[in-house]
Amino acid sequence: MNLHKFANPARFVRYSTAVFPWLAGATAALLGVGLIWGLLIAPADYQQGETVRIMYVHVPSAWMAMFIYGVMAVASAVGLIWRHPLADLTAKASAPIGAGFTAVALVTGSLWGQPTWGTWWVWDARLTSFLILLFLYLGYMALWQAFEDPRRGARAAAILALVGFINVPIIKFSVDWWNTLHQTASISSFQGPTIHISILIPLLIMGLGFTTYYFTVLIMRVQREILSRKIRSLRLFQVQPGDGRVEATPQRG
Amino acid sequence: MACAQRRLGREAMDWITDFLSMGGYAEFVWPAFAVTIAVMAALVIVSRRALLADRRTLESLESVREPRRQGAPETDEGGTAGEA
Repeated sequence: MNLHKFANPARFVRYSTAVFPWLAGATAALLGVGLIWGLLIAPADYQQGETVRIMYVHVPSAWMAMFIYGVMAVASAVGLIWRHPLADLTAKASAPIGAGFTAVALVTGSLWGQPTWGTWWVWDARLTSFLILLFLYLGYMALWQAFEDPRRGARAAAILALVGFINVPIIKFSVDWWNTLHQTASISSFQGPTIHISILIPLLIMGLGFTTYYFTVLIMRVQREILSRKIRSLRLFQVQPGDGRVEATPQRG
Repeated sequence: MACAQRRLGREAMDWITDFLSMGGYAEFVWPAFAVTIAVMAALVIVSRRALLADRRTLESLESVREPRRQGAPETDEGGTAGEA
């Protein structure tokens, strides 16, 4: 199985190190083009004026916040079912990135809400469920830290990630199910995008740039987690020095 | 000549102030971009620092147990390190 081969930590480090510079370069290029396009070339909205430019950071952040939670939930499930160490590490490494994007989406949304709605915050379904997403991320990160045995921490956190996934469709459809101050979807609706092409293109470029950014940072964080595990086991061996042969054969669980 | 140049300079200045004012919404648009860039940059810096620090730690740990380096540098430990 191809996927299994990739899930070997040593192989992951090799492949991801090879991909890394390309991913980082693509991120820089996409974000550079997206920022210039969004700030300088794209037109202002006929109703909202220049505030519409906040969309170019708000919407991709919100997309990523939900996408990363999805990745975390899938990785957690794989970690729980197949006990794949790399899956747990992927979920763990994703959480701070997802939490960051969730916070950015909330703050930029607030900065957009004040001039367009006349309020920084309302407890409507979309905003509230998004705030819950932030708490889910923070709770997930806290759970990892709460156990001394990393395997137990991984299990507890994975269960939280899976249970909390119910919030993702709630966020997505909250604007349809309830009367929210937040507008309904304008990109991924059944009729296709309802915003003008001149602002859709820079938005999609930013979305792509945010996605490659996530994978770039994820590679660094997963590689770091792999190293941390190695360091932990090496230290354990050094505390109880064997006859020299023990070092090369860490016990398998 | 100098007059035309001055006018050009003034136009550029006008364009810049116009751009920075964001149609009167500068206080909302710029903080939104600033927060986004700050958070994304911070995540890169923190993640990169942690990776490099761990790489150094591992190097110093491995140099201690020099004799058996040939063995299996990554394949053996990577997957099972957490279970040790």
